[in-house]
Amino acid sequence: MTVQYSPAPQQVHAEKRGMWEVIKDYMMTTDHKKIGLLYIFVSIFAFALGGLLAVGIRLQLALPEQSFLVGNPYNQVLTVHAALMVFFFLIPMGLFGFGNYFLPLQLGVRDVALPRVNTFAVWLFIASLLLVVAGTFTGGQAPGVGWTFYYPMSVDANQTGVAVFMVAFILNGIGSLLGSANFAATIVNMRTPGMSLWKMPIFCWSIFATSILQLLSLGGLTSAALCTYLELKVGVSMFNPGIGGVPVLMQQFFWFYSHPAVYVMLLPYLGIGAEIASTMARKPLFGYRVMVYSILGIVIVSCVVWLHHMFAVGVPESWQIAFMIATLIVAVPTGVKIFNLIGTLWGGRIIMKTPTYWLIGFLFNFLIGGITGVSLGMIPFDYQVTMSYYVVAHFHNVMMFGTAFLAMGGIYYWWPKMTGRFLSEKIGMWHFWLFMIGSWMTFLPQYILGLLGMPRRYYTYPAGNYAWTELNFVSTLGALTLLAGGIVWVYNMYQSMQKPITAGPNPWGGYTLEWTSSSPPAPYNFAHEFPTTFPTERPLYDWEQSGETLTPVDPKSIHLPQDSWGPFITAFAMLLMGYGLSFGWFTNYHPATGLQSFGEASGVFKFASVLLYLSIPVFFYGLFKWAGTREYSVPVAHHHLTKYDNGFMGMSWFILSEVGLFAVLIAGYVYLRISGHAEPPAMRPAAWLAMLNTVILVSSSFVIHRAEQDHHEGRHSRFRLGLFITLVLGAIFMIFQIFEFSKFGMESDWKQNVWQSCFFIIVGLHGLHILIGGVGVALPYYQAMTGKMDKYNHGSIVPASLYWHLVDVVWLLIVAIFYAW
Amino acid sequence: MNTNHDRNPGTARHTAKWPLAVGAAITATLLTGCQGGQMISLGDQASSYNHEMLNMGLWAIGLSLIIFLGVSAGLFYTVHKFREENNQNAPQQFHGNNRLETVLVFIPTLIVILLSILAVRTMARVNPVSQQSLSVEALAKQFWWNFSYPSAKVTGGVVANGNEMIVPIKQTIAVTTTSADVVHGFWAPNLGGQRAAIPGSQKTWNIGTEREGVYQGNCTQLCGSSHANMRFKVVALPQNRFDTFIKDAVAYTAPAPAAGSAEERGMNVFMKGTATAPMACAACHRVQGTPAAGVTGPDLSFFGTRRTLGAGMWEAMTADHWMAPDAAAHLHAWIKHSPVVKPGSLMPRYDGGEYMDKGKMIKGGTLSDQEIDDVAAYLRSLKLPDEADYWAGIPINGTGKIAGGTK
Repeated sequence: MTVQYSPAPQQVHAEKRGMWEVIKDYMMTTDHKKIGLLYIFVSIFAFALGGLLAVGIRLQLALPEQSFLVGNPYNQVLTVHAALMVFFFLIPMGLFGFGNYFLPLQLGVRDVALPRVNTFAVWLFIASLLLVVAGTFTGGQAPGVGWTFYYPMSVDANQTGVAVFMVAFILNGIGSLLGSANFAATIVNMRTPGMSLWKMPIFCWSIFATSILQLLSLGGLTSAALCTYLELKVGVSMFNPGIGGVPVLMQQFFWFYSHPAVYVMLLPYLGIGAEIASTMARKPLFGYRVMVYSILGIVIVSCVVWLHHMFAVGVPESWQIAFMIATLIVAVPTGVKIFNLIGTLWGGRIIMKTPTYWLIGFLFNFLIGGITGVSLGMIPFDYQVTMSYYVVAHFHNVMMFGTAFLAMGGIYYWWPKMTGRFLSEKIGMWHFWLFMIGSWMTFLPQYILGLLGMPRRYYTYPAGNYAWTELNFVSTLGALTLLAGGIVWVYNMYQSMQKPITAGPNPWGGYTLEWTSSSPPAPYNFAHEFPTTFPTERPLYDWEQSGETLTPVDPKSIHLPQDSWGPFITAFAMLLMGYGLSFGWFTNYHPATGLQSFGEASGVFKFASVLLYLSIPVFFYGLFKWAGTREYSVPVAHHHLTKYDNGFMGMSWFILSEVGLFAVLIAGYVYLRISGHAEPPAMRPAAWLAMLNTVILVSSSFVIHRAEQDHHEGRHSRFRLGLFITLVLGAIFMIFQIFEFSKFGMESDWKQNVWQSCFFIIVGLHGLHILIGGVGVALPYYQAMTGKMDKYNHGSIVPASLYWHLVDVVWLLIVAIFYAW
Repeated sequence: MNTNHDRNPGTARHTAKWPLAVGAAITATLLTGCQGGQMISLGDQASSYNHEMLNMGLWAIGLSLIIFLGVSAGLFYTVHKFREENNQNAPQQFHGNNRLETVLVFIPTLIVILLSILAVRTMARVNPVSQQSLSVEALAKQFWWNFSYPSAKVTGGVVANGNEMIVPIKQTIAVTTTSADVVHGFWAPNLGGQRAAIPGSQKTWNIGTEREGVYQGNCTQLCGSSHANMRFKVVALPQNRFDTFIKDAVAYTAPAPAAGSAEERGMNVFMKGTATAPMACAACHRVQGTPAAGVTGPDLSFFGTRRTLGAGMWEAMTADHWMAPDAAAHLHAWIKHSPVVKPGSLMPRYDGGEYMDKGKMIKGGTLSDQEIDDVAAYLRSLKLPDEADYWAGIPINGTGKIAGGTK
C-alpha cells in the first residue's frame, strides 16, 4: 500500500557550518523550505513567549486580589500575549510556515513564484516581531490597550507603545500580503504540468483560499492601525468624537479584518488536518470538491460577519440581524469540513500515530468551539456574554485547543519530511495529553465564569463572587499543565534533532508529491519529473495503480534562484524605519501636548528620528541592489501555466490588497460624509489643481504603457525615455500635491475638522502610493540603464507598470469623492 | 448551593424552568465544593430579559447537545472501528457520497434558519425601548460610573449617584449609556445584556428584575489600568421604596454641618482646598445643594448613604457602615492617595506623592491625617433621610445576607 518513490537519500553535507554561515545563509536564502523553517521557528518562539505571558496572566488570576501583575502591566501582558499568538504564531505558522515549505513541494515545483519577495517577506515578518519585542522589553513600552486597540483608548495619553504596535502590525501586514500574493501567483502559475487546480492537494487549496482572504480583508487592520498611528503622530482623526468623528468606525475597520483573520488562522490548518486524515486513514478525502467549495464558501461569508463582534455596541438592528444570519451560515461550511474529515476516516485503516491524535483532538475540541460559536452568534445571548470569559473560552477553544492542535498535528506529520527525523511517539503522546487535559482545565471553567458574569481582561476580582475563585484556580492549574506540555514538546523536538537522519522519503505512506522528495528535501526539491496525468488529488496512489513512474533528472541541470543580500537589506532598512517611525517622527508631536520644538524631544525620540532618516538610504541601497541582481545567475527558461509572467501575476494579486485598503478607508469616509459627520471646511482644495494633476497622472499611465510596448518590441532607447517621462510626470504630480497639502494645512486645522482629516489620510495615503509606485518605476529604469534588461530579461517593468496604473485609477476615485463631491 | 430558589414566588412562570447558569454553577460546585457568595448569573430568571433568552436558549441548547453527542459519537465510533488495531480490511478507496453531503448541508442550514428566527423573535421582544420606561443614564469614565435620573430634576441638574444604581423592580428600565473618555461596557448580568458606553454616542436598551436585591455590575470593555476595578451595584427596590428614594433625593440638600464640628472643617477642605492642597474636592465632584458642582469625578451627593467606595474598591456592608474600623481606614486611604489604592485612578494624591495623568507625572497636594479624617467625616454626613436609605434590608443576591448589615 505504501507508495515509496525513493531516490537514494541525498548525501547531507558532512562538514559542520559555523553559526554565522548558517545565519547568513538564512538571511540571503531564496529557498522556500528555509524560509518556511524560518517562519515556523520564529512562530514557535512567539508561541513560547506568548505562552509564558499567558501563564503570567493565569498566575495573577489564580486567586482573588493577587499582586503579581496589577493594572497596566497586566493589560500590557494580555495585549502582547494576544498580538504574539495571533500575528506571530497562528497566522504565520500555518499560512507562511507550512505554506512556504509544503506548497511548492505539493505542487511539484522547485520554488514559489517570486523567491526574493519571499525572502523579503519573511524578514519583514521577523522585523515586525523584533519591533513588538523591542516595544515590550524596552522600559515597559508595550501598550495596555488589548490587541484590539479600541479607540480612543489607543490615543489615551497614559498609554505608551501604541505607535510601535501600529507600525509592527503594518509591517507584518505588508510581509503577509507579499507572501499571500506570492502563494496565489505560485498556485495559478506554477503547478507541475498536468496538475489542474481541481487536482491540487487540499492543503494547497487551503493556502490559496487563505491567501485570497488575507489579500481581500487585511486592509481593515491596516486602515485601523494607520489612522490610529496618524492620530498619534500628526493629529488627524476619523474617529475623534470631539470633532465629529465616530469611534465605532475604528471597530468596524478593525473587525473587517480581524474576523476574517480567524479564518486566515484556521483554513491552512484545516488543510493540514485533511492531509493527515487522508494519509493516516489511507483513503481519499471524503468529498474533495465539497471541501474545496466549503473553504471558498468560508472565504466569502467570513468577509460579511465582522459586525458580530460589535452587537453590544448598538448598531442598527437590521444590520445586527443581517450579520447574525451570515455568522450562523458560516457554521454550515465549517460543519461540512468536520463531517467530511470524519467521513475521510470512515472505512480506512487508521494509523494511530501522534498526528492522528492531534487531528481527533482537534475535531472534538473544535466541535465544542463551533457550537459555542453559534451560541455567540445568537444576538440576545451575545449581548450577555460578549466581552465576558465565555468569549475568552470560546476563542481559545477554536484557536488554542482547536486550530493550534492542528499546528501541532502539522509539526508531527511533517517533521520527518522537514528534518529527516522522527519525533518520539511516546513523548508526543505526553505532549498531546498534557495539552488536551491542560486546555480543558484552563478553558472549560472559563465558559462557566462567563455565565457567572466575569468580564474578560480583568487583572483582579474580589473574593465574594459565587464560584469565581474556584473556577479561576482550576483554570490556572490548567495553564500550568499546558506549560508542562509545551516544555515536553520543545524537549521532543530537541531530542529528535540530536538523532541521525533516518526517515525515508515517505514515512507515513502519503499520496501527495512532497513525499517523493528526500527527507529533508534537497535544495532543488525533486531529482525527477512527474508524470503529467493527475486522475485525482492523490497522484502517488493513482500512479501506482496505473504503473506510471517518475523520470529521473540530473540535479546538475537544475537551476535555482541565486541567493541575494538585497531583500534582507531592504527588510532590515524597514526595521530601522519601523523603529524610527515608532519611537521618533519627523516632528515632535504628541497628542497630549501638541506640536513642540524638536529640540525639546527626549533622547530616545531624537535617536529614533535620526534612525528614521538614516533608514531611507539603506532602504534604497537594499532595494536597488535587489533590483540590480538577476534572479537566476544563468539564463533560465521559466515555465508558467498562464501567459503572464510571475511578476505580473504576483502584482495582480497584491493589487487586490491595495484595492481592499482604499475601499475600507473610502467606505469609512463616505459613511462619515453621508451621515453628516464630515463636512468640508469653507476653504477646500481647488478642483482645478486636481484636474491638472489628473491630466498629468493619466498621461503618465499612457506613457508607461507605451514604454512597456517599446520594451516588448525592442526599442530600448524609447523605452528608457518613456520611463524617464513617467518619473518626471509623477514628480510634478507630487510637487503640486505637496503645495496643495501645505496650503490646505495652513488654511484650516485638520485637528478640528473630520473632513480635512479624512482628506489628509486618504489623499495622503494615495500620495504615499505615488512615491511607492515611483520607486517601482525607478527600478526598471535603473535596470535598463545598467544593462540588466534585454529581450529575455524584463526586469520589473511589468509589475511596476501595473502598479502605476493602479495608483492612477485610485486617483480618479479620489478626485470624485474629495474634489468633485 | 442553588441560591436562586428563594426568588419571588409570585412569578410562577419563572419556576418551571431550570436556569442555565445555575445548572452550570452546580456542576462547578460539585467539582470544586465552593462556598456561596454573591450570585452573578445570566441565568437569573427574575429578569425578563434573561427569561426570554432562556426560552430561546433552550432550543439552541437542545440542538447543540444533539449535534455534540451525535458528531462526537460518530467521531469516536469511526476512530474505534477503523483504527489499525481493530480493522484488518483494506481501506476503502471511495471519494465521497453526494447524497450524504447534501443531507449534511441541508440539516445545518435548517438549524441555522431556525436559530435565526428564534434570535430575531427574542430581539423583537427584548430590544424595543418604550417611551414610558423609567430612564436612567449611565455615564462611564475611567474608572467609575455615574447614574442619573433625567426625570428627577433638581436645581442645576438632575439626581445622580456615583457607582450605585437604584432601580425599581417589576418594570423595564431604559438605560442610556455614554462615556466621557474611552469605550466602556455596562453589564449587570442578573438584569440583562450589556451595552458599550461610547464617547459621543448614547445607546439605550432595557434591563430589569422582578426580585428586590443588590446586584453586581461591571465594566466589560478594557478601559485602562483599573478596568477590573470599575464595578457598580444595582440596587433593585420595591416601587414604593424607589419612589421614596427619588422623592427624597429630589428634595435633598446636603446637610449643613454644625459650627466647629469635624464635618464643618471637612466641608471647608472639600469646597476650598487648603494651602498645601489647592485642588479642592469640589473642583471635580458634585454635592447636590452645595456649590460643589464638579463633573470630572463621580457624584458624591449621597456618599454617606452609599456603601461602596472607589467603584467597588471597598464595600462597607456591615451595620457599622463607614464607622467600621476597616471601612474607615479604607476611606482614609482613598482620600489620601487614591492612585495608590486603585491603579490608574485619576483622583489627585493628597499625600504629596506623584500620580499619572495624561501621560505625565503630576504632584498631588498634601493633607494632614486630621484634615483627611475631617473630609471623611463630611462625606459620611452626606446622607439621605433614613426612609430613603436604599440599602436597608435589601438582600445581596445569592448570599442570604442583608446589604446594610444587621445590628
